[in-house]
Amino acid sequence: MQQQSARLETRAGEALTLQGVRFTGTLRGTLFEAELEQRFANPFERHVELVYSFPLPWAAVLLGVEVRIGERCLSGAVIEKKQAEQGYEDALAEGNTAILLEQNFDGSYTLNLGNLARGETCVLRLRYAQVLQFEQHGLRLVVPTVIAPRYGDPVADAGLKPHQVVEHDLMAVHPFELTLRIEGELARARIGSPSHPLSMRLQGEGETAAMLVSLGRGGALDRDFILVLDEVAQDSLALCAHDTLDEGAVNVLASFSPRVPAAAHPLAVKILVDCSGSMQGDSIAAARRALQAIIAGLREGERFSLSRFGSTVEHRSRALWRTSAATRLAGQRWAMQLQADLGGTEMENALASTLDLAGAAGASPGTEEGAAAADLLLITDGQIHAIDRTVERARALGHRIFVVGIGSAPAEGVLRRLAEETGGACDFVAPGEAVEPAVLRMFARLRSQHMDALQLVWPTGAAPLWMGALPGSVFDGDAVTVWARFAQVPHGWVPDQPVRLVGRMAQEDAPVTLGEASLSAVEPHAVLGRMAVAAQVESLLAADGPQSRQALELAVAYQLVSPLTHFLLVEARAEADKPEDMPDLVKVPAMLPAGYGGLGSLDFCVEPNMAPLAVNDAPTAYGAPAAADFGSFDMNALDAPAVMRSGGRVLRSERRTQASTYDIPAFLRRGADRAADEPPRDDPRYWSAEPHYSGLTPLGLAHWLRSHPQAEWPRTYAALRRIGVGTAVLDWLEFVLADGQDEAQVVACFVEAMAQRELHDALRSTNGMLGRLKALTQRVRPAAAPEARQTDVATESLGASLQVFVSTLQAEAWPDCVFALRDAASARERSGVGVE
Amino acid sequence: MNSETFPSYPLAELAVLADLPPRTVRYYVQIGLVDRPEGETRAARYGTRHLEQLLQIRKWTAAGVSLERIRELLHGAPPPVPPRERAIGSVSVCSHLTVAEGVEVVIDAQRAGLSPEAVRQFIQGVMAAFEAVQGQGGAASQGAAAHNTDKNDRQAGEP
Repeated sequence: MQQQSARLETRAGEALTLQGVRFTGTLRGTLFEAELEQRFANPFERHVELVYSFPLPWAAVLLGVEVRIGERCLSGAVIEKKQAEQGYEDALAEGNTAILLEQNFDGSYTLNLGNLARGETCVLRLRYAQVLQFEQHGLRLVVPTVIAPRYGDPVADAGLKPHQVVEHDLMAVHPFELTLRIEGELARARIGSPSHPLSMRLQGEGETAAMLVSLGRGGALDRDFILVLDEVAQDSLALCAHDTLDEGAVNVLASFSPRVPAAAHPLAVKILVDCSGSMQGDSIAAARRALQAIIAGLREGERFSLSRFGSTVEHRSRALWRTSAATRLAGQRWAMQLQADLGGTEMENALASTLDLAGAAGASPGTEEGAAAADLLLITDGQIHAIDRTVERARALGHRIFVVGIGSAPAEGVLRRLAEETGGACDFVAPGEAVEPAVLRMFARLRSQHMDALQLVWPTGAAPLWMGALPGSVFDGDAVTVWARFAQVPHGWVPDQPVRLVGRMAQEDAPVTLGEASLSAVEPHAVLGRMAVAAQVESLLAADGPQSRQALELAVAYQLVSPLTHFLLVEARAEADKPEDMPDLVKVPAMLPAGYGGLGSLDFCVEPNMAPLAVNDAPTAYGAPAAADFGSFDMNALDAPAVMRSGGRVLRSERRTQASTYDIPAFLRRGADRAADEPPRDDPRYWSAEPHYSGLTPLGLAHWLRSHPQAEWPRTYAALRRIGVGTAVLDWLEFVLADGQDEAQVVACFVEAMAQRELHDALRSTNGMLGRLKALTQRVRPAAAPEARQTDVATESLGASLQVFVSTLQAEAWPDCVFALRDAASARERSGVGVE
Repeated sequence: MNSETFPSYPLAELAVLADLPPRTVRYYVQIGLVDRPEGETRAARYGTRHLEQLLQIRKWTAAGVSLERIRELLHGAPPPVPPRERAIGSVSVCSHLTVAEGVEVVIDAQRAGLSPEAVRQFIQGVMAAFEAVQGQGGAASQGAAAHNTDKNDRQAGEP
């Protein structure tokens, strides 16, 4: 239990093991080279083994590790994983000092610092490089600093070893410093950060000018550092570099900025929002804003559906909605009421369940252009451990997944993999950052033409030895990066020859050139060469799995840390210095990401000098959303802070409709005194608990009305909600049926129509065709209870549409027109005889 | 040397016998799930007892038991009495103390085992801490006059 007492000291703030992190980087073109310096110390009385798990940016290649223990500078080597682990264990058993750097299965890294003596310090410098990708004409540089708590079992789901699992401590504070140097063309770009206040200084003039960027205020390892550069010319380019080991070989990095025409078919998108506990606070607020922007940005004729998930999944509609005033209003209301109250993050099942809506969409009437498969737009922070399983499942489902990543430390690797492997794309929104630019970028991608059969056409006579896989899809303005290697400089290869990216539009045969890059002169460039090899190792691993001999040989030869290779350094200690037993384990606790799970909010910390950047100019495209006059549109602002609204304290009336039946304690479900009057909620004929509708069924409502005196009948939408009528029906009443009529009249007519005795009997006697036929015959009879009826024209038309509506009713489910937010008559006409 | 530790193995051999990576075995020793070995560094030896502990841990982790819980199960020393579970339908009375707009402290004094004096002392500390934080943040002083409306809230206990 020594480890625990050690941690207690840390909590008191006296004994910090990770004393700080300094980050320096240089951005030249799209190549970003960085150095991460981590400073450790052992403040304890005994010798310890420090273990620290940390993230590196997605697709970053670790190029070198330098270590200084006390005043001694040491260097190690990258060797095969098993050997490295063995070497580390042996060194520790001998009482020597050893450093092991592992790349974990989830893409994070774990540093093991064995046998740090009392009072000793260690400074670790990690050098890495990455190629940034232009996205919709802007560059976004992300420096992740922390791994957020994730949902699931780290050992069983993510394949981590117990010591690699990150532990979080609310009390931990790790200082973070950052300086960046931006060279060349980019120094003149518009630069800003939605995550940190910056201070910037221009150095030099003309061609050699560089922008120096540093943090305006001390930072901490609790949120990703994000730098956004825009208003820069985006070029296609193909850099050629000599290989470091193989003299003759040439490595090529080809980067294209493709031009893709807009698609002809209208957009169909299924929106799925993460409402798990980790989204609480800033994240769910950002998700709400993003959804409002998405719904406002949909055009007439486009189709969409709305779903949310946590431990379970809930669909707002049963099939895709056609964008109309009514569906927009209903969608905006739904988005506004989103809470992160669905518990866990069962993403796998939620994706499958949402994509299942496709069948319903294809079969539903009026989808002539149903050929265009719906895409899925996922809004989440991606904090899950079961990455492989989820990606696997998503790929098998065969739909493109587009992701909007949200939060101060979203799991970029997870989300990028999910998007890339399904042919979608990924975008991120930091807390406090404007969501509209990200949403506009997403729309641009969703609406761009599908391109198939991507290919690279090299100059004649040049055949690459190896070439990285091309992405499954390409979007207008999103850079495509490809690595390739040639055995030697090909014959007749002259600089400025073009390499072309070609693709084929769906349903067309002729290939189209999407981008063209000129090959640069071949230069020595060690970093580029090793990055090409890293890309090759990765593609070998993807193809052959961890058994790939070639991947292992390449990784060792080029000294690259990979899932097959670890960095190991051993320093022999003098016999007298050797400890006598096993070192105490001290895991460096990670900070909790800022605003995680609603712990504090960054929305209040946005200062003028870190005002969020709009990547495109002001999103004038939105104009006034259709819901500008929507009474409670600004409810976000008025809402009680999310932290105060945890499950137990939700208003009872809200709870009734949101939670499934079984969440409701029995004594809340039925008033003890009038149990007989209430339709039984455990009977599916009366109460429906489906993912897309939870509330009274038609029979349930009819039963309720028959068993209550007319004086108690609901007179408002809110009263209808209280007795258990679900959101779908209420929105249909308000946005479709009402058509400008006032609430009292609509509710009165609806209640009256539902209360007809013949309807109740018909619904009760049977469920299915017979019930509907009986109800149909009702239509010709004069309506019951005419005394409550006024004889003005509007009520007449309400009554008429309600009669059509009533005639389509079945006992257990509301008709399709309710879920599609269309009026009953037109739904019937469109589908011919009746609506299934 | 204890007779029950006979026969004895080095860590690497123990790991092979338990079919676990050596690192994981060492991790379990370090976090106190498995007893420390006999002897020092190179000469450290593990016995049947350690192997039994490891096999037990393997069985439990495979069944999805967390390491924290396993620690409790293995070292029954603090008796494995499960924490008092709040029965469904039980009623507990908590004090909700408003420290400032948007900051609330919920105290169930009975469960926390606090005397009224202790509660008062705690609350004073919380108030002072909040004021200090506000001063630092330089936030608007609107919440400076924190009013502590002590209201009692009857809650239906849920597990």
